Amino acid sequence: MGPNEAGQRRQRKDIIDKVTGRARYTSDLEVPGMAFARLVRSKVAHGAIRNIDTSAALALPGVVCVVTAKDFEHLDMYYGESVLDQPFLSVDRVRYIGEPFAGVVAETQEIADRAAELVRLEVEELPILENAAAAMHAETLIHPERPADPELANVCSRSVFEYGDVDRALAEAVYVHEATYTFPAVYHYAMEPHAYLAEWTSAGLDMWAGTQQPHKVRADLARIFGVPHNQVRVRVPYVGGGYGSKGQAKYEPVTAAMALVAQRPVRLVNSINESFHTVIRHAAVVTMRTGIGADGRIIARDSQVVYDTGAYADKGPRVARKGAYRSAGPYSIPNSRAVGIAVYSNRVPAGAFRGFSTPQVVWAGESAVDEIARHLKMSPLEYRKRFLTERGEPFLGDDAPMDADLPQGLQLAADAIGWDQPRPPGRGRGVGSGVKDGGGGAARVEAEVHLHRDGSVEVVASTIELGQGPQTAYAQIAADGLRARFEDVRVRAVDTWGQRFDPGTNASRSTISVGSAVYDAACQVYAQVCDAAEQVMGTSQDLRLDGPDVVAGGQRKPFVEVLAEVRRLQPDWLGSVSAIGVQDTTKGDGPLGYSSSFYEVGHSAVEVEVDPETGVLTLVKCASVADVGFAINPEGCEGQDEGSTVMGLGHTLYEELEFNGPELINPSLVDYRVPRAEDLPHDFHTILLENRDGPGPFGSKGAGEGGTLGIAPAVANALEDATGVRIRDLPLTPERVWRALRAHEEAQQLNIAEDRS
Amino acid sequence: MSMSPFELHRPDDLLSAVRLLEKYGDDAVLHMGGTELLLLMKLGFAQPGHLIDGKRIADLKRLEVADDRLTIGAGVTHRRIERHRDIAHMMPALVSLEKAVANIRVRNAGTLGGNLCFAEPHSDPATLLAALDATVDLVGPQGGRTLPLREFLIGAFATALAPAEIMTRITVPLPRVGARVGYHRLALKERPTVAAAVVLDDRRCEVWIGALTAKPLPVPEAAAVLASSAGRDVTAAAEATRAAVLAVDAGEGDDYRAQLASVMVRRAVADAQPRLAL
Repeated sequence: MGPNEAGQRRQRKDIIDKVTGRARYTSDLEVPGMAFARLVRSKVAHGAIRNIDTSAALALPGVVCVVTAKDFEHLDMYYGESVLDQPFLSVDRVRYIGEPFAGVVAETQEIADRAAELVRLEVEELPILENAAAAMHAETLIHPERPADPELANVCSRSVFEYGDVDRALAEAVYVHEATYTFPAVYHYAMEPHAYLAEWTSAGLDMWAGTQQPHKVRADLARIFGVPHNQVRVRVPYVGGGYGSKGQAKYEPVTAAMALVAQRPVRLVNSINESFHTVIRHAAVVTMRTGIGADGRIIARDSQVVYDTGAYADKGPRVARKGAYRSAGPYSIPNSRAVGIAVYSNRVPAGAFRGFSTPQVVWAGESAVDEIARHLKMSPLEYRKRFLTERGEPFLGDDAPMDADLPQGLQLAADAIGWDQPRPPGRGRGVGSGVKDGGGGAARVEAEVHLHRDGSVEVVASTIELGQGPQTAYAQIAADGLRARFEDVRVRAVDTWGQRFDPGTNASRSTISVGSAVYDAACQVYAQVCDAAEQVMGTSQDLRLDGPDVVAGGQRKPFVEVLAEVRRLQPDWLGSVSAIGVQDTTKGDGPLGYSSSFYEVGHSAVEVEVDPETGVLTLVKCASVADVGFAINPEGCEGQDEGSTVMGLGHTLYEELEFNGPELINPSLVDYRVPRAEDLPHDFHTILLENRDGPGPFGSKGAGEGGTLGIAPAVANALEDATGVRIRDLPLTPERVWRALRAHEEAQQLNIAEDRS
Repeated sequence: MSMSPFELHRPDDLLSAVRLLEKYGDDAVLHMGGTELLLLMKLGFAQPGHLIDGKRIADLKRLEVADDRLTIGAGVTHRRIERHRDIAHMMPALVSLEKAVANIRVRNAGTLGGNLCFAEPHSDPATLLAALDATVDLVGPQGGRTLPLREFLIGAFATALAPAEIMTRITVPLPRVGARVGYHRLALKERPTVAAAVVLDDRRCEVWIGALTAKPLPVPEAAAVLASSAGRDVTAAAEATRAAVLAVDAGEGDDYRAQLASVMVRRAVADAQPRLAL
């Protein structure tokens, strides 16, 4: 049976709470006896710690305790996703400006803030490696304990993906295009900074955290503090935006450590400035060689991607691995070699960020393909459509077959901006396509659905409501499985104590994995209700739940009566009908060690206008196609895709974390410019492509990252279309555009002069 | 970070405010809209022990429009200027400038006097009001005085305000009817990156560049070109502006900024609208 509720445009369940200020975030929480914390952060980029003087801070009235690594010598202080290189407080070195080396706990936030300024760090300064480029060729090692790379210094990880014979194909190519593209470090800009509340009780560690990965955090806390998983509880209230910045452990360990010493509940809430110094997106340098065969086909690609992962690995190794892997997409390329290197530097650690390493490589790849099409005197749109991976074709050599019609989606985006219509003077058009292997595969996740005796429905699923809409989408999925009303379904906030495992709310994975488990559970409950109705009402024909009533075969009866009769219990002794749903995907064997669950596809098409006098680039039209398979909540899908497009416009036109040596110089919401509503054109569309070809409920796929992928190259390609100028560095700031225009003009004049002579 | 504690005083008249400022000296600060001051305090850059709130002082909120001048109390908000019909009629450039200041929440609270006293180099009003040769009235323990805004602004975040002195009003002399006034800016970030204000009068032209230097930069060469060509030789004025910007501190006056300044001058001239009679 097809969906009834899913596919409806629904207002988000959390929206009224959020716009009225009723929603409670971790930073709003208070518990009796709570003390307030502030981390003390290094002003030195790289140094060996000689001494930390806490005496002045401790002497301040109202200070509960000041902690440093010395207080935790009995613990394994290190954490990280794949490399445990980050101590929750500096142990023997500080490695970036902003690194927490001490924590202050006090009776009030004001006292904690003042005391934090009194803690003195004495270091012996070490040579500063201000970015990856400097670190790769330096003698100084930021993590001397880590295994050495055979070629470069300070390598955190190196991943290589290779198939076919790249060198031979490049030698045979009729044209080899080579270029280097750069992508800036950017900030997630979650509206809620990182926030945590920890308390040690007789039951163990009770942690409230604004996290995207509570089960991962639980495992880290259990390991660090040497307590079993069943004594660590991680609760997640509303989270004011994540975008990857709240993946894996961040300051949960240090908050728990401060609570342990303080013997009090302790709340730590970052300032925005501190969140700028917690985690960022990797700056990247992508060098690509692309070989073209006689028929114009891409026969080889050789790419090297260097990601600046900052002082600690965080998710850097995975970012570099996936980025390298994805750098050959989304075309069908028979020979590919991709090297992804994460390099340590004395910068803020870089981690997961919406699009996860892919915007960087799509920026390079989709710029390069445009340059190649222009070199071959082909339409950039037609060139792409001819060589995009076809539906059913194995992706990138031998990953799961492509589950989307890429040329169809790209054409939709192009049509939406009137690609074939005459271009107004001074304007240019461009497209960009990105494909990211989706999350949600290779996992076993579970969810619960409870139909209470009054007809209300409760969904228990470990997906974090970050604003991306699971509370709404899961309610729609459960309502469909149960043939119940959307308004009767409520989705519970996440609590690792008693709730089922999920690896995390990331990688656009939730709908197809946890959402499938929700649907499974709802269908099981529905089957139980049908069974009961048949016994009590003699029918389950077209059964649906209408608030407190069961309606079937033309009859209507309160659910509580049906349940009481079938269970032979009085109503007071009735609870609910419940089920556990499962979604189990086997690992498979793709290039990443598992096969992709689905492909997240984003196509962007833009029309731009350039002011040649100022270099200001204005977006006139922007269309994005999100291939979502099936939109469970179309309004939510559109909002997610618009949001990801706008976020991508950030690194395209405005956003860049600026460093003076190792020091971040624009860590504030005033100095860090993000796109604003007035920057967006009226002609701004999201088109949802719904071919029902995804693995999630009703053929759905994950969504919400696609818009970040192709927008930057689409704009740069449109810039070249308008002006003849190619820029390979982001963001496309007015100054950069103006300088490129001027250089282009000078070169042209020189050519004319040479022609004449 | 959290603000350090302070005591709030809410005097009803100017004299009491001056006395409070005198009494607490360096530890006191006059507070109006708070759109800049409170930010500084939250960042820990200012930690006054006493805030003297001027919002109850009626004198600071007067706004009078006459044939030849605007008299704007220092405590008049941007929003009030922006919505003033007579000002919109007589000086549309000032109103469109005010409409573009920050965002509506800032304009609802922030005041013109606060903006000028803060002396942020990227101020929008300072550039146009300097071009119009506005004056500011100050009142302090020694009594009152009037200064041209051009002299009141000393540098980045620096003014001629003496200890315990309060700016009470801004007087904007209006150019004669028919003269044209224009303001054009480019704001790549939160505040303007470069701005230009022009006054085009037969007898007297003004060209001022804002946001590039510590305080608004006059470009008399460009003004002279415009005056001698009845406002027509815009290209020469733009080139004179480029040369003037390149001649100032090399760090700020690079070729891109000089280019922007010259473009802003051309656009300010193009945007300039005639000053109408009341």
